[in-house]
Amino acid sequence: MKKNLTIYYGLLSTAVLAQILITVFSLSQNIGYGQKISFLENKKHSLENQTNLLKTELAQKVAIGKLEQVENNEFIAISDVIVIDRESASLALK
Amino acid sequence: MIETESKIHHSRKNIFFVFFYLALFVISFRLFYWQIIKGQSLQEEGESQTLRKLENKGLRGQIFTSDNYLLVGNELVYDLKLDKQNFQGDSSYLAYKLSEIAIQDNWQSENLDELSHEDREALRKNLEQEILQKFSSKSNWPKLLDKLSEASKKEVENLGNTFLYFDESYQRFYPEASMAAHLTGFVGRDDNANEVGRYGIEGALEDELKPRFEKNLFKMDALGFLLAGQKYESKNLNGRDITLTIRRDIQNLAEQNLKWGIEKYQADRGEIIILDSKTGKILSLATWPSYEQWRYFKYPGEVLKNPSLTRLYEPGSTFKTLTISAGIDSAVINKDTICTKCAGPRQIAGYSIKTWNDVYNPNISMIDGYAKSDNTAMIFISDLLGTDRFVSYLKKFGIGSNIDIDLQDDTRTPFPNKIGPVETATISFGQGISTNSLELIRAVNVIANQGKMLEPIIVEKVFDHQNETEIISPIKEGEQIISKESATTVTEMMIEAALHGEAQWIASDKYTVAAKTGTSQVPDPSGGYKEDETIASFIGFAPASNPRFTMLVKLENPKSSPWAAETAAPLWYKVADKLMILLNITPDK
Repeated sequence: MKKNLTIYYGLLSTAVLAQILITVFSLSQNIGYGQKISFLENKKHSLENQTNLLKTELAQKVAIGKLEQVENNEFIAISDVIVIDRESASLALK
Repeated sequence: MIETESKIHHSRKNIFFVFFYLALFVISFRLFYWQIIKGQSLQEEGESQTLRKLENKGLRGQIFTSDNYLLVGNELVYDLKLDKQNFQGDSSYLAYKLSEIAIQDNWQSENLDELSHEDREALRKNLEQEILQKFSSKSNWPKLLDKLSEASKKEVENLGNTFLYFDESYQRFYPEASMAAHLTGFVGRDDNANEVGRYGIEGALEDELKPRFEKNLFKMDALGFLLAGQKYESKNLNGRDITLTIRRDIQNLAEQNLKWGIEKYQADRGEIIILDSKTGKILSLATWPSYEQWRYFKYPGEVLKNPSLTRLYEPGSTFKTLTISAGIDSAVINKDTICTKCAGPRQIAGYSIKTWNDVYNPNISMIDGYAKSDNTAMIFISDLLGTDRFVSYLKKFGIGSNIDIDLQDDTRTPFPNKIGPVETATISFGQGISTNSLELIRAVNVIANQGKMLEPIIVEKVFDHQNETEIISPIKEGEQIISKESATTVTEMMIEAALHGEAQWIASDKYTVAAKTGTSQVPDPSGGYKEDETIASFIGFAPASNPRFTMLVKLENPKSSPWAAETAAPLWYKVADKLMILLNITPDK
């Protein structure tokens, strides 16, 4: 009888211990996932902000008004016009 | 004895049951109290400890040109807050430094480049005072500055003040400055200070553009982390992106040239509208005066409205194109029909109706009458058509019908209720009837599109971030208004008008143009027409052999010359020359 009781309580303690271990493990995993999600969310947010900043910068740099200003400054009027006719030795005609 | 014991036993039993029922009642009452009376508040308290509400909001949809350049976007900005309770240091010095930094962000939407050094310093001092006042506000976290740029944020961080914090937010951003302001509209505030689109695309497509909201409840552990077993999905909550039909280079070309034209011809206002003749897509819609969307509140309400939709005017001689189209299509005239009533002013119901230059051309052909913009020749056509048939054609051309377009503005163009003989005569040459620019170009484009009418289109496509789908605006074939043959004949007459009409001096020798000038008078509110004010316009399409674009140039009150042939027409050709290159059109001459 005593032996049976020992086996019974032994099994019961093992089952309880196993349940405790499983619960602790799964909860720690939960916390891990939660932390990971929070970390990834923050990272995503920061990357979105960075992307937006880069897009803003790019849009500002390629704005047609700005490009025009640069082009106008670099524009040099042609003083000697080259006229190409049939007699020209220009490479463009060959 | 036994009887006495039995009585005692019975009374003990009763006492036990009394206590038992009393306890049961107390427990039941407490359960009722906690679960029913206090249940709701306890549930809320419990949820507040374990549930976390996550509210997410996306960004407002962006607006692009058809060549994929950003026209209206969202810019990350920062609000600067102060931890007032723990703040230690010199508030005056901090306010001074912050005002120096914030002023660079065009504070209060003032354009600093336009301000003198003194005005700029006065503005900075004003800002410094405002910041200082916030140090003594009741709030523990007063907002010292708002909408700081990334560069300014970095400068504030360099101050090394540990009591300053930043909150992120987004505001509308216009990389191409005020380009196409009347098309884009702007974002204002409603009565509850919520962002809402006004005018143009922002107003018309508010439901598409506005950001989406998401509210989620999650169970959290004691440390505030998400408990597993719950699905966490982060959706894209951005509003839909809109791609317009306008091309950035063409819009810029039109705006720059309109500005040039306004200055050169000393006009008060002006418009240039360019349509793709085959699809009705608006390639450009330039207007002057315009406004800067980010400082819309600095402009009078009238400037914010799109004049191409809201500014009604009497179109004048450009309208003759519709009169001859009706005449040709109904076969009451052909281009060689001789006008037998063009020898002098026409007398109708007691009114004497003259030509624009009081010069008369007896027995003039219709093609010459149109080229010379002869009012009596147009009355001759309207006589042959009769009022009912003439009005029916005008209505088929969309005169008086609202423009079906994705722009928020009042697009009503009332058609005259009563049309008698005098009105029929004056309408034939574009007087006594009002239209707006988009309505007129829609009508004239019928000729360019072989007699079929197309509604002007401004939205090329819409991109939905939630479903990752693209909705492309369908191109409708258009209703046949006049026959293809009639359209070809009218085109020939328009080519003749461009080559031998008032604007012949500027006609292109590289490509064929089918166009018509129009110098309309401006009605005087006190009756009649203003003596010294005109609206000069030039409308047409090119290359006439295979039209690629239809363009209207309109200048209001040009002071260098009142005539369209000397103002609107040269501006039309100036833009068209460059448009031929931008659209890669081979010259047909």
